[in-house]
Amino acid sequence: MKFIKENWSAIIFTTLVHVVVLALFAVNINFERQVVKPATPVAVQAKIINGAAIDAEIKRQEKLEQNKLDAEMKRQKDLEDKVLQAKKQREIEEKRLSDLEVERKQQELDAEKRQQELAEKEKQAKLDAQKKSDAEKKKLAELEKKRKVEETRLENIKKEQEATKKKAAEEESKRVAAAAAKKKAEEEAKKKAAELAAIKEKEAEAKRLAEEKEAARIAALQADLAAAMEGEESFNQAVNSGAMNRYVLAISQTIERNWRKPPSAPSNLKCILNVKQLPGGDVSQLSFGACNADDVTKASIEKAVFRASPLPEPEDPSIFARDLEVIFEPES
Amino acid sequence: MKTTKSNVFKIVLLSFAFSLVSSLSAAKLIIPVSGSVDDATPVAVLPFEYVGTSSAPYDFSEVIEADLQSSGEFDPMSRADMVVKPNDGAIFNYGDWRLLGADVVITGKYFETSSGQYNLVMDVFDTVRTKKIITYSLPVNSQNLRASAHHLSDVIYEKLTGIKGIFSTRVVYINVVGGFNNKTYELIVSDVDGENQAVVARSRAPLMSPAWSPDGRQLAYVSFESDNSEIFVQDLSTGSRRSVSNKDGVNSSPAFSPDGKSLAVTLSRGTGNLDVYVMDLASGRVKRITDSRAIDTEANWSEDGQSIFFTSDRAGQPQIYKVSKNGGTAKRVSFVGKYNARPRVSVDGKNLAVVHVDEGAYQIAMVNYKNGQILSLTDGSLDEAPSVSPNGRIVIYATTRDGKGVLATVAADGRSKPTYLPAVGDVREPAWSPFR
Repeated sequence: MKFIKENWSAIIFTTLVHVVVLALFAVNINFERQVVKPATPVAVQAKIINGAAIDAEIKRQEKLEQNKLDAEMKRQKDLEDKVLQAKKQREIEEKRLSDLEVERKQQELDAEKRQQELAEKEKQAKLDAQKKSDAEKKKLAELEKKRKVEETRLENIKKEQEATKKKAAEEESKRVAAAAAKKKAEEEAKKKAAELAAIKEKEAEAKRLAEEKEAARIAALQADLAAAMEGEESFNQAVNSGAMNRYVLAISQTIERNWRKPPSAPSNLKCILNVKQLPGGDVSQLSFGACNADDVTKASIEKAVFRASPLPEPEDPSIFARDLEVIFEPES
Repeated sequence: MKTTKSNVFKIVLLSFAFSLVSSLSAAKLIIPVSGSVDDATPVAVLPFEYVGTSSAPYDFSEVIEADLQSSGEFDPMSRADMVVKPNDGAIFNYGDWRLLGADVVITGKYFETSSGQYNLVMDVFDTVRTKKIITYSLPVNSQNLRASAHHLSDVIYEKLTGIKGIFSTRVVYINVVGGFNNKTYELIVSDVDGENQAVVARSRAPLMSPAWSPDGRQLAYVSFESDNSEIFVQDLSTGSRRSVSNKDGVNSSPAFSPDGKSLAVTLSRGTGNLDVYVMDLASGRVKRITDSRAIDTEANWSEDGQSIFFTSDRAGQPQIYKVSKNGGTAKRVSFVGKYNARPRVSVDGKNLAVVHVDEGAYQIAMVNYKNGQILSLTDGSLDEAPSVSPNGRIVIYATTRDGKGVLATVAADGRSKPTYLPAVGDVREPAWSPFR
């Protein structure tokens, strides 16, 4: 407010400048719009004037200027009057406000005073309550103490009673335990006997199971064997009965009866002949393996097998062997 | 426990059997063969076919058959049994001959190319292995028909046995002809089958101990034609002979060294004590090999020519000893029996044919000088003068039948019984020739 009061002329001037600039902006805008319209030709008018006229004009102009200044000064003075008036008004208002403030402060002080009085009263009340509470507490503590003493006394009595009771119980339990031990020993003896019997029984059972298992294993083996033979169940029997040995021996002897070992045969002769035979014993194919024989001896070996053909058949057809490895090895 | 054990055994056996079965389809059944037989191979020698207008000039197959028979290793089928008579290998039916029992079938065909000249083709079939094993062609002339047959026998024998045949070799022996007062001694060389005899020396005085030179061209023998014993070496092709030892006392038992350069002889040199000497044939010089008061005689060279086997009674009874060809200590090699004499070396490098007395019977035996074992070959009572065939397979010796000396042969391995050669007179002291 003070600022406006002090600078009112500058503010007005500034305001005016702003109004002019804005008006210029608006004119400018209009001008730009007019540019688009076709221009209207302007004729220039000129007028010749004389010196007197000029002096008159200057005087008139100076008078005009003086009028203007007078007007401005009057306006300035009016403005200053207005400002002074406003200042006076403002000082009156400030005084009124200050009075109001004093009054308000007094009111605040009164309120504070009342508050303090209240707090003091409360404090006193609290102190009184505290005093009263402490006395009660003391009384309660004393009561508690008394109660504890009584409790301890009761406890001791109880303990004494329990000790007596316990002693009696222990004696009773000892007696019971002795009886139980006796009973237990008797029972254990009985149990041991029973256990021994059970173990024996168990062992017998285990043995029986093992035997059964063994039997099952043999049976399984036999089954496997039978399966392996693809139904030639008699193989095992044949082997066990020595049929395989007899089969080998029969072939061996038949070949030996037909082998005319030539005198040229080396003394350390060892000759392997692979023989294939058909069911029925007919020799179908011969081929030499490792052999240290001369040609004549080899021929004699081939002839021995061919002459022995058909080779003897096994008692049990299940042990017939299609492939034979005949080892010619005379005892030296 | 018993059951457990037997169960374990059972399982082991089963497992074994199982593995056996499992592998049966893949693995082979092993058949050991160690034994063999010595029986003769049955063979059919078909009459050789003569392609010509005239009748067949010679029966080759008869000679071959006899040769093979004499070896003891073949058993020829009689012609009456040959109900199948193929003449061409192209149509040879193995199965028929196999059924007839002939393991080997020999066929032949020959035709005259010019007068007395023939072309012969022989085929030999193995009916067991069903293959032709020999095709052999041979030009033949009327002068060597029998020798050709022997040659064919040799070819067959060698093919079938792996050993060289002896059917073309010869023997030399002494034959005594005439009665008590006109005895004549003949030195005869013949084919080994007794045929084709040739008298190479004849004497009214005894002839003894013929021996072959290693090349078969010469004979050494003892003659008493000058009243004293005397050793001659005679050339067979020319008939010329020379005296190589005519020393005082005994000159006997000549034996050519394997290189033909030396002659082992028995000399007494006027002392009455017989010892073995080695004579250098080129110079006539002799070297004493044995020196004992006992009788040392009947020398025979080892195969390698480094040692000499001889008979000595230095231990009381005649036994065989071995000594270096340069002399030195003799080593006794015969131990079985009280009497072992007249050693003759076999080509096998380990056996000597000897005269062995068994319970008073003079028999032929083989002494193995490597291990001392003895193998009796004959069962006669007056068997003497053994000589081993050059292939080591047969021993020829002299024996007595009906009071007269005859020759006989026996397998050197004892696998056959003696075969007597045709009697030609009173025969003794055979000696088998080397291979031609």
